[in-house]
Amino acid sequence: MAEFNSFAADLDPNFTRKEFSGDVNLLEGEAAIRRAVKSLLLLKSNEKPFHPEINPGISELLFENASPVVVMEVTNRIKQAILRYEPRISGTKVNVYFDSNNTLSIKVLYTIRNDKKVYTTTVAVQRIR
Amino acid sequence: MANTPVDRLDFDQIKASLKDYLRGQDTFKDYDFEGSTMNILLDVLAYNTHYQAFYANMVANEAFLDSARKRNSVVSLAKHLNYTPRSRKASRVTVNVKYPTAATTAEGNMNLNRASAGALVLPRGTRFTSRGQGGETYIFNTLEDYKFEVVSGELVVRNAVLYEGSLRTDSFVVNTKDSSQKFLLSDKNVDIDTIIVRVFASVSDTRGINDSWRRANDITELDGSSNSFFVQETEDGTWEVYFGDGVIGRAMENGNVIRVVYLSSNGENANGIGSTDTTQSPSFRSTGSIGYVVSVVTDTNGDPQPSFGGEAPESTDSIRFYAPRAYQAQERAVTADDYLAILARDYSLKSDSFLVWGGEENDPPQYGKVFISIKPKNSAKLSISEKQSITRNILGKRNVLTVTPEVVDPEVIYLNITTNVYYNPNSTILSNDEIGSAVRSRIVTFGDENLNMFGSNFRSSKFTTYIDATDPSINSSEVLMTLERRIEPQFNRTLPYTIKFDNALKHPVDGYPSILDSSSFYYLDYSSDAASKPTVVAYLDDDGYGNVRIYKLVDSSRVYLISNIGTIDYQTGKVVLKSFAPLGIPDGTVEIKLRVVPDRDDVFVRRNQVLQVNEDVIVVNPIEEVTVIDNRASDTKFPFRT
Repeated sequence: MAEFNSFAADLDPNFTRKEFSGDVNLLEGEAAIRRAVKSLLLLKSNEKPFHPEINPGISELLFENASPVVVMEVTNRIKQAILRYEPRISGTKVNVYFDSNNTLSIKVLYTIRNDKKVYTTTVAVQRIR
Repeated sequence: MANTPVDRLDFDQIKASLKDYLRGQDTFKDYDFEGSTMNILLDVLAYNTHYQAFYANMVANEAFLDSARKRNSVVSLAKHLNYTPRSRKASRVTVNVKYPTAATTAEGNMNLNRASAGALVLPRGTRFTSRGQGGETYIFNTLEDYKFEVVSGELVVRNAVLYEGSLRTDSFVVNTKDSSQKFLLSDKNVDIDTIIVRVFASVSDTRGINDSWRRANDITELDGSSNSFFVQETEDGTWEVYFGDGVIGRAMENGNVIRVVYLSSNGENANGIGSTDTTQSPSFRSTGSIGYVVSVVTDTNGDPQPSFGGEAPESTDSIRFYAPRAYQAQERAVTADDYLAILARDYSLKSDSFLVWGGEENDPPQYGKVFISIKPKNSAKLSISEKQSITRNILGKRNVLTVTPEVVDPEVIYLNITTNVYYNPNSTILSNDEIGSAVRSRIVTFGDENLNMFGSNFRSSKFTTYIDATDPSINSSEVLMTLERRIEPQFNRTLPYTIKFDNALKHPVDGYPSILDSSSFYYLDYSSDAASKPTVVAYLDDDGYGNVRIYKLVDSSRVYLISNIGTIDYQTGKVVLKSFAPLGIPDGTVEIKLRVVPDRDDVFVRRNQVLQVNEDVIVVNPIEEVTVIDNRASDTKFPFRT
């Protein structure tokens, strides 16, 4: 892994453009990291070419019963994925709950290394059909 | 900018190279984290590069005969060398067919008259059923008309050849406006040697239907009016018939109807049918309303000759091997390799091994000749008609005008093997007899796998190693062996015979006991004082000084009839009988077997000699041997053998 730089810089995944130059916008700092965490949590098995193992495995739990055991499993998987693939953040806390419209809502609280502020990323996982 | 190596073609290596490159800039920093957008873009780039590299590698591989893996690539490359892969081959069997009606009936008499006039035939396409060794049913067909003969009042077709498979017909209407029209045969299991093509003018005009069309192998024999067709394997393994362009081979005209009849075969699955046939239980039965009585032909020993020659389509590896050699021969038999390539292509069905040498290398030299020796698959030698067929039909059209090909029989040297096998009975559940039986079948397998080919020598150490591996309980083995050659003498005539073993024979000192032995034969008893010499059963041996003698047995003692019928050269293994006049063989066969003891345990062959294990006289002596730690005096026998 590359060493963590204090200032992250990534492409905007929506490829929005700068108003004057027409270049693709960059996501920088905490915004880039938040977006990376969200993308990581939404990865599915076999989505990464030649590396089917890189995914938190949440989507495959979508059809499980909404029980405390599943909540615990989702929490563990997210923590493992962040620990393994997103070394820029630490102190991760994960809140998982099912809401009324069969959506799995995930709230990840974390701090960025060299920064004491707690940030939050929210991901909603829902079956589409 | 980082130096990006181009020899890394795996996905992870390519991605690592891209990351190395990105480390040299400051704009993007997140490329190394799996969730980042940059990382996803790197995945796409690396995947694309990897895919293209793999594709380029495959394209390059498939472009060369040596490295191509896909069958259609190999077939296509072989096409450049004018090589048509061998298709599936139908199994065939030679049978005698008897018409069922007795000559005493009115119908029988009528058939008798028709047969006498040559008008009663067993037509092409007559079907017979048979049951394979696994219980499957196979259909065999005649592929030509056979005339019935009258033999002892019965109507018989002798030596009719039946081919396994189903006759299929494909028809095509030629459309010259369709430049991509292909005449693909609908069945992949076609035996292309059985294809018959008929072409007639149009759907409503059958002119030309009786013209015969011939499969072309050599375009030098064709002109614009030649009724010839070509056959090739297509990309998906089917077979295509195609025709000439009006310059090389006659061209098709719009509206012509092409009818292709061929045999769809099960290949090698139908081999071996009829091997246990008797008159009461024949394998082949007629399927039609006329219940022909079918019996497979037998060899000289009376054994039924089962179906043979069925083969799977030529393998990719075989095409890779033979295509360049066929191209090298260029349909011309000039060098020895040319002969081998042509025979391998046209006669491999029936033979195990080929050998070719020029007459100038023969002993004695015969200039202007080339000798071909062929070891057939199912017998020791070819029949005279088969030899003529090879020289006329296969080689005659392709060899140099002033060189005469001559097919000679392989000289078979039989190995009469006796083995002593020392085994530990505590290490096996096999009984003494079972060890003997296992070793015996192992010896037969050794012969099948390592001998029976030109140039295959017998190596004693390899043989004993092979035998030792029969069972883990076998500690060691030793081999005792005699070499045997067989001659077919002309009885009641005095002729010279030369028998070459071409291996040094055991002869440590002059006067050494006889190492030559023979099977029995009848000979005049020249030891008798009677005016009219009686006929006695006699044998051959040697006197230890290079002379061959004929003796008879009187109360187990040898009484010599002739003390110098010929010579034996212990160095070269050559036995010469100068004036040998046997009168017959006691068991009614035609061969005398000569056996000698070789000097070494290894046996070598020269030129057209072939080694073969004599399965009739394999002797296996399993000897129990318990190995224990020897704490006793040094003169104690060790190990302990019971």
